[in-house]
Formats: sequence, C-alpha cells, structure tokens
Amino acid sequence: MTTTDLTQNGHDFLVMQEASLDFGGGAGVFDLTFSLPPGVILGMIGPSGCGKTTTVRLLNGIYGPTGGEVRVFEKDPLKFTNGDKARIGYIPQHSLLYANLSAEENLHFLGGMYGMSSRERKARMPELMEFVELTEARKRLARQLSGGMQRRLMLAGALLHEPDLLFADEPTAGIDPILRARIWDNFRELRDQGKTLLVTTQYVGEAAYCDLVALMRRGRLVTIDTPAGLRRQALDGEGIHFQVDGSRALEVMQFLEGLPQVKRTERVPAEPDGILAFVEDAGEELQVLLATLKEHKGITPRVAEPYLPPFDEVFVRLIHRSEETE
Amino acid sequence: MKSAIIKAFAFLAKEFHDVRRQPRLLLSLVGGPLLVLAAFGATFQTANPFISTVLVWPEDGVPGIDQAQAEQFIGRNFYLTKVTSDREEALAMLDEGRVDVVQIIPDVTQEEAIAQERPQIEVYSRTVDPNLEGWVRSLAYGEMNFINRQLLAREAQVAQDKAREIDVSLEDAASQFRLLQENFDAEQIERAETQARELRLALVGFVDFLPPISQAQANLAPELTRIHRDTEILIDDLGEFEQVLASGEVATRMERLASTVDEIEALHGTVGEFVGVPPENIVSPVQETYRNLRGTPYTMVIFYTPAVLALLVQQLAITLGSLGLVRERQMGSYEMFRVSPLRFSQILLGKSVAYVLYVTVAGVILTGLLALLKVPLPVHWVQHLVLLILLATASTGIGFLISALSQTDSQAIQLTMLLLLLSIFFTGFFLPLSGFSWPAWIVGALLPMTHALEGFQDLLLKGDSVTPGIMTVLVFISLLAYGLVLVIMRRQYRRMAH
Repeated sequence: MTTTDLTQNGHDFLVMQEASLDFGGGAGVFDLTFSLPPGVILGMIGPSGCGKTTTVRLLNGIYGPTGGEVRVFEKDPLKFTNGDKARIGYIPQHSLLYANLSAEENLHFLGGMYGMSSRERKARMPELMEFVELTEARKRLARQLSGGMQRRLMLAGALLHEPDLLFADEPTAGIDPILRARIWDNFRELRDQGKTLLVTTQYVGEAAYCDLVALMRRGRLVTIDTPAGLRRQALDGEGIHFQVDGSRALEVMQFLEGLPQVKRTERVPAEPDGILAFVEDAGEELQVLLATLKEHKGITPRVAEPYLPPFDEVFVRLIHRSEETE
Repeated sequence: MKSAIIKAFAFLAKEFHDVRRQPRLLLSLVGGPLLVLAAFGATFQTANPFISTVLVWPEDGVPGIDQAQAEQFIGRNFYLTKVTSDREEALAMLDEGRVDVVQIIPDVTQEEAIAQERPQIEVYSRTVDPNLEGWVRSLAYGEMNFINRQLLAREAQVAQDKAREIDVSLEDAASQFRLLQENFDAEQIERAETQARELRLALVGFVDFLPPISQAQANLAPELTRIHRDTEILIDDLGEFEQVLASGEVATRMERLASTVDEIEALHGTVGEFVGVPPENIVSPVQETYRNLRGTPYTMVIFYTPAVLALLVQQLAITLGSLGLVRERQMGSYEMFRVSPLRFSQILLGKSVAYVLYVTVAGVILTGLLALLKVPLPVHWVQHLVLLILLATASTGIGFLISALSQTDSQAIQLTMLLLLLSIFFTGFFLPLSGFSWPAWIVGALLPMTHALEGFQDLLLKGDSVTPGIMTVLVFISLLAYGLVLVIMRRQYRRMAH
C-alpha cells in the first residue's frame, strides 16, 4: 500500500481533523489531522510529553477536543455506545494490573468489565495466554510477573474481548529489546488478522514495525507516512552510499554534485572515505552513477549500495527540518 | 441485564480475590476488633474518675458522726489518701499536686449543730478538667447531705430523750388536773396552777430541742410535725388555762380543765409516737427503693459492646469504601473504566456488594465470638443480620463518598479518622446526644452508628426487636450517600472529558 492508500481510504476507522486539546500554557495537542484505515499499524513516535498519550485519549473518548473534530468508527468518541466501546481494546501507559490477583484473575476481571461471561472468558483465555506466551505464568500473581510479562498480560487483557481497534500507549516502555521485538511480533500478527492498531512509542527504531508512522513534536503532528516514505522525506529522496579512496573523496563528491540526477552529496560522519549521494530513486540511479564514475573518473567505489539510515537519524533529520521551518 | 450483572460481578470477584490474598487484613477484620473488646473487658474497672483526697477531720470530732463511718462514706467515691486535723498540711499536699481534692470538715459543736448555724464543709481542688470538677462538686454535695443527716439524726435523738422527760411531766400534770376535777378546792387549784406553769415552761424549753421545721427540710417525718403542732397548742392552752383558773366562773373553769386534760393526753399520744420512731427516720423519712424491671444490669463491658460492635463495623466499612475508589483513581484505573463499556453504577455495585459481604461476615463472626465475653447473643438473628447489612451498606456508601472527595489515599484516611472522631462524640457512644445542642443531633443522625448502636442494644442487651425506624434511617443514609457518590463521580467523569 502507498501512503495515499493508507491515509486516504474511504472507510477510515479513525479520523482527526484539525483536532486540538489545549490544556493551557502550551500544553496539549494542536491541529492534528490524519486518518487511519482498518488493518494497519499506526505508530505514533515522539519524545516524552509530545502529546502521544493525549492523542490516544482523544481517540478513545477519555478527553474531548477543544477544537476540530475526532471521529472513530465514524462517531464522536464522547458519544460511544457500549457496543462501540466493546470494539476497542486499550493498553494504557501504566500497568493497571491488580497486584494481588493472578494473571488469569486479572484477565477474568478485564473480560468481565466488557460483559464477557465466564464461559466466554475461559474459552478465549488459553489461546491468548499462548499468544502472549504466558501460559506457564497464568497462575502467578501479577506482582510476581516481570515488567515485560505484565505488558504482555495487559495486551492479552486488551484483546480478550476481540476488539477491532487496539490503542496501545507505550506498550514497550522499559522493556528489553528482545521482549520488545516479541511484542511487535504480536502486533503484526494482530494486524495480519485484520485488526487496526495505534501504538505509541518513544523508541524510534520501532517505526520499522509499523505500516504508518506519525511523528509528533510539541503537541503537533510533524508528519505521517510509511517508514519508507519517512526516509524519503528525511533524506529528501533516497541515498546511495559510496566508499572510495579517501584521497579522491572530495573529487568524487564534486563530480557527483555536477550530475543532473544527483540532488546533493554529504560526507559520512566518522567515515573518511564514505560519501552519500541523494537521488530521486536509488535503485534506478545506482548503476547509472557507477557507470558514469568509471567512465569519467575511472573510479570504481569499494562500496556502492542504497543508503538506509537508521530511524534515529531519520527522525533527527525530520525534527531538525521541522525546527528550521518554525 | 445479564451483561450488567457480569460487569458488577467482575468487581465483586476482583475485590474478593484481592482481600483473600491478604490474610493479615482478614485477620484484622475479625481478630482485631475482638482483641480490642477483650482488652477493654480485661482492663476496664470503673467509669468514675480516680480522685485522691485528704480529709481534714476536727480534733474533737463531729458530734453525732463517727469518724470511721465518715471515712467509709468518703472512701466510696474518693481515694482517701490521708486523714488529718492539720488544714495547712492538707492544702500543701494539694498545692504540690499530691492529691486532687482536700475536704475540710468544720469543727462544729453540738450546740452549733443544734442551733443550725450552718457551718461550711470546705472542698478544694486545682483541677482544670470540667468533668472532674463536676464530679467533685457532686460528690461534695452528697457528703454534705450525709453529714447533715447524721447531725439531724443526732439532734432528733436528743429531742426524743427530752420528749421522754416531758412525757413524765405530762402524766404528772394530767394526774393533778384529774384530782382537781374530783376535788375542786383552793388547795387543788393552787397545785394545779403550779403544775400548769411548770409544764408550760418545760414545754417551751422542749420546743428548742426539737429539730426545726422549715421549707428546706420538708422531708422530715410527720411525727416531728405533729409533736411541734401539739406542743405549741398545749403551751397556748396552758397559758389560757392558768388565767381561767385564777379568775373564771366554776363552770367555765371546769370546762377549761377538761379541755386541757384532753390536750395533755393528745400530746402524750404524740410523744409516744415521736419517741417510737428511729431518729434517722425523723430527719430522713423518705427512702429510695429501686428495682430494675429487666433484672440485673449488665457489666460496663457488656453494656458498651453493642456500641463497640457498631463502631467497628462502621469504621471497617468506611475504611474499605474510602480506599476502594481512591486507590483505583491513584492506580489510573479510571482511565480503563472510562474506555470500557462500564457504567459507574456497576463499579459501585460490584465493589459495594464485596465490601458489604466482607463486613457483614466479619460482623456475624464477631457477634458469635462476643459470646466469649459473655455478651448475650441476639434473640432475632435475622434482624441482627439485616441490621449488620444495612449498617455496612450505609457506612460503605459514606466511605465511597470520602473516596469520591479525596485525591489520595492519605486524604481518604484522614477523612476516615475524622469520621471516627465524630462517631465517638456524636453518636451517643459514651456521651449522650441529649447533652448536645441541635447541630450535633444532625451530625449524629447522619452517622449510621448512631442508629445501629440503638439497634444492637435492643437486640443484644434487651432481647427486643429492632424498631423499623432504625432500619428506615439506615436505608435513607445509604441512598443519600450512594446518590451523592454517583453525582460527584459523574461530574468528575464529565470534567475529565471536557
């Protein structure tokens, strides 16, 4: 799916149109505009306090907007019926497990809150416990579970009533990378089952797991795009990484910048013989540039490959650009 | 409907699991209150304050009062640390704080006592406690009455001795006057005149020995009143008789003589009655008789048990309720509840049923265990159970109200403690509500314990039924508390969204 496909579907589960919630003193979220079709994972990424949780709370009806419009399932979340609420699963930022209840009892409580009968809960629970890999720990008290296990138990609790839309507010916060990857595997599996997920995170690297990524800063949406689209935005196109003899690096850079298909070049920080050349389509231009270099300069770079910058770098570039625009 | 029940039951089950995993809490639900009651029963001695005193007793004693008897009387209410005749020594002990009260009995002579010069019993204390001062004044008043009675009894005894002497004179006079009736001659007339004069003077002297009749001593025996009256009549009569005897017609004199003999005989009869009455009955003829129609009164421990039971059940329910919602709020659970298809009333219902169940079970077990303290078991167990449930429900509602108004659990605990203080002062627990002005009655009426206390006393101590009024008021308090909680929580929910 392209970015356009993902954000401008006619049957969006979730729409924010210039939605704002002003807490005063610069706090809140402002002019958020985006939409989300069913069956995708939207990752909301941004530093702490940028408005991710407030956005989630606007979407699930905890808060009402002070401006603009918020619609989920084509309804104002503040006017959700019980039926609408039952279509939503929610993992809040903080653990809401009851310490003196076992993992299973916590799930029974959460299922009961959604009106599921004991039989329904019992039928669904083994599958879910298996899904979050907590079958062995189901009798353990919540206070005896590790942080990662607690987050996975929260995930199971949010899925017990089989929601169509899942809001997960920083579900991987404070968890080691292996467990984080496991939780994202769970999310992707849910997406593959047709569920829609909105996941907030401070770990920018997790953007890679998402279908769409919304970058937030100071209560505003900097951009929303696919992970690849974000890279393109950050790099203003696509990058090609070359490694040449250090003594000729400057010469190669100047030559490449003179070519019409090359937008600009950069030295690779901490890599003396590394050069980055930015073009519209790296896959298309890579071979052309290699041939041109050999033909005109007699140089064959040691390395010539599409440049896939880590998302940390992508976000730093996007944030800097946003600051420059302001 | 089924879904609503499932949702409420989810909270009931959650609270059940939460509490059952806390054995110390379970133990404190029943064991704690019982221990409190047991400690109360084991250590309670008296509701009266301990007041130490020094008695200053005159060196020459008090006529008519035995010192040992006085010490025994004072020792009933005071802890008598010393008896001395040195007033300054006793006051120094008070100044040094070695005793609470000094009581100084006046150095009263028999004549002073009889002459009713009203000598003062001096009582001194240095207390700052108004209750203690009330006790001291009340006890001093009792002592004054005791001493007065003793003095008057002594006086009455002296009067009775004099009355016996007078009675001899009466008999002599009556005999002399009868002789005159038989032989009305000059010699007999002269003897009769002398007899009449001597008797009149003796009677005038006798009146001075009689305890006086005044309004303040209206509780004197009727025999005393009669002897006063008949003596005065005879004194007047004898005076007139003397005049008539000296100058009247024979027929008039004979008529007067007959009348005087009748008066003498009347007084003789009255004297006979007067000397036949015990002296203490003359000065204090009315005695109290008290009968408890319910049988023997309970010990203080048993008497206070219903109030303690009501207080413990109320506070237990209020504590559970007050922490029940505020902890969810602090934990952030409201966010989850708000997103889920839950009504706040379902949360409240689920939690309430769990807490009321726990508190009621604890109350029933506690009632059973109270038998160990020899507290009677309720005659009407069903009514007892209903009263426990209503008390627990109303108290849980008040606890929820505290929870709804508190932001943190420490705030909730503070308000709960405040309510405990209100319950101790304004429910009739140990200070009767009738001793307060009307604002306190309103506070008392709004506290479930006030009504439950009365109900438990009916059920446990009197073996009666609970009046429907008590049940109705508890239902009203429950509805009021829960209604307010719903209004406040809905407002808070709305405020969260906007």
